[in-house]
Amino acid sequence: MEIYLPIAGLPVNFFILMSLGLVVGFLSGMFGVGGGFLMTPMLMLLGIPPAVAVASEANHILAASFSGFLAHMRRLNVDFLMGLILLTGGIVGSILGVFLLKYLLIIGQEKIFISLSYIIILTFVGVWMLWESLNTLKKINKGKINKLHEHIWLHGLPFKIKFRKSHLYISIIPPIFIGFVVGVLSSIMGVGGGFILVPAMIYILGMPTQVVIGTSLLQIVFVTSVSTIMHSYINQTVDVVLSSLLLIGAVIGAQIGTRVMVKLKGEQIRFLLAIIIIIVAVVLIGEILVTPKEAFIIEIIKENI
Amino acid sequence: MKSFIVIFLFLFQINQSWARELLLTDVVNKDINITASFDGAKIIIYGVVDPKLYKDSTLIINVMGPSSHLKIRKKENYAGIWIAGKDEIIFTDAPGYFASASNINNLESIDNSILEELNIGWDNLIINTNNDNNNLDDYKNLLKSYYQNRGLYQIATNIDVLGEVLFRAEFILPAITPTGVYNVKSFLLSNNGKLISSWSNNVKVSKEGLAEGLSDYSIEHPFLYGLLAALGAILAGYIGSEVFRRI
Repeated sequence: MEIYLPIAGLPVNFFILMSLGLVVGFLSGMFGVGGGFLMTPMLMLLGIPPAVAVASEANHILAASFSGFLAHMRRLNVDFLMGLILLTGGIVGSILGVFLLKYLLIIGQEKIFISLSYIIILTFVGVWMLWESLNTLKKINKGKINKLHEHIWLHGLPFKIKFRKSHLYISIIPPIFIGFVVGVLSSIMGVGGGFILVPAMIYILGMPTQVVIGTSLLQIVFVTSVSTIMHSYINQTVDVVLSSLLLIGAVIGAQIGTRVMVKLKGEQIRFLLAIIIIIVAVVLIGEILVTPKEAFIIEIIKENI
Repeated sequence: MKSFIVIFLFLFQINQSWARELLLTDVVNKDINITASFDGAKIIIYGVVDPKLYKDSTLIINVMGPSSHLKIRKKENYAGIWIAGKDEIIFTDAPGYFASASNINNLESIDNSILEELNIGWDNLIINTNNDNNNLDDYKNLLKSYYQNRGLYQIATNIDVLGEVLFRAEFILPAITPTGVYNVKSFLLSNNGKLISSWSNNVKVSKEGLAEGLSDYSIEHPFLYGLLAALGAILAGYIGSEVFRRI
C-alpha cells in the first residue's frame, strides 16, 4: 500500500514505514536513544530528501521518546534535577551548533563533517562501551561485586549538589558540559543526541543505567520539540504524514522496549547498545570509502521558477 | 483503435478549423492531481497531421517539466574518502522532467541544425547557469543520468500513427515527478530539414486534497505547523503510553 508524502514529494510503502517505526521505537524505549542515528539514513535510502528526513525524524522521535519517557516516569526512573542541568547546557550548545552548521554550509562541507563526526563518536563510544560491558559481565561471572560507581576527579569540582535519584553527590560542571556538547552535536547532526548522552551519563557522571535511560528520554523530548518547530519554521521540511506513519509503530515499539529493558541488567543493556552503535559506525565508514553509484550531489535550491 | 475514432470524431466536431491546420494536438488530461495514493501518472497526447505532408515529414514531441534552480557538485576522492569537491555548478532553469518521442526510430537522419534551432532533444536543450564553468556539458550529462535513474528522463517513447493522419503518444511520469506546468511541444519537420508546423500544450501537475492542504499550510503558517506537529507527536506518545498501561 503506497501513500504519498506531501512534503517529501514521493510515495512510500505503508508497511515499510510501520515496521521501521516499530524497530526504532523498540530501541528507543530499551536504550533511551531517540533512534535518529538509525532512522535518518534508512529514510534517505527510501529516497526521501535528507532535509525532510532529518526534520520529520525529529518529529517522530518526539512521539517515541515521550511515550518511552512516560513509561519510565511511572517506574520512577527519571532524575529531573539532572535532566534540568543537562538541558541548560544543551540549550546553549544547540544554539551554538546552529551557527556552526551555518558556517559549514557556507564552505559546503557539511556532509563530510557530519559523517566524520558520526564515525568518530560512534566508533569511540561503541568500542569503549563494548569493552566495559564485557569486563563487567566477566567480573560478575567471577562473583566480584561492583562498586556503585567510580569516583573521578571531575566529580570533585566546585558547585557540588546531591542527585538523590542517581545516588550521586557531584559537581554540576560535568553535567552542564556534557549537555553543551550534546546540544552542539544534535544541532549539527539532526539527532536527539541520546547515543552520546547515554554513554556520557553512565561513564562520566556514573549514573545507574536504569535512571540514565529515563533521564536521557526527558532531554530528547525537549530537544526534538524545539527542532520540530525550528525545522518547520525555517525550512518547511517536516512531513507530518511521514512522521505520523512512523510513530504508529514507534509508540508501540517504545512500550515493548521499556518492558524488555526492565528485565535486563545494566551491563547487558550497555553490551547490546554497544553492538548496535558499532554496526552503524561500520556502515558509515563503508559509505565514505566505497565508490558511490552516483559520484555527485544534486540539490534543488528553488522549485518552479 | 476505438479511442482513435472517438478522438477523430471529437476533433472533427469541436474544431472545424482542424482541416486548415497542418498539425493539431491536444492532451487527454490537462490537470494531473497528486492525491494521497498517487503512484505516477501519464501524459497522453493525440493529434492530427495533414496526410498530404505525412510521407515527407517527421513528427517529434518534446515534454519538459517545470524548471528549477539546481546545484550540482561532484564528489572527489581524497585519501580514500569520498567528499564533495570544490567544483560546482548552478543551473538556473533546469527542467524537472524531460521526455521526447518521435514516429521514426532515430533522429540521426534529420539535419541537426534544425534540431538545434528548435532545442529538440536533451543535447540541444539550453540550460542557463549563473557561473562560468567550462564543463557545462559534463554537468548536463550528470543531470541526465540522475534523471534516468529516477524515471525523470525518457526518450524511448514512440508515437503511434494511424492512417497517416492520427497520432498518439504516452509519457510516463514517475511518482516523484515535480509539481508545476509541463509543456508538451509537437513539431512537424520536413525531410529536407525545415519546420512545417508546431503546436504546444500544457499539462498542470498539482497536489490535491490532503497533500495540497498540508503542503500549503506548512508554507503559509510554518510556525503553527511546527507547533501542531510537535503537539501532535506528544499527544500520540501520551496515547500510546496510556493504551499500553491498560494492557
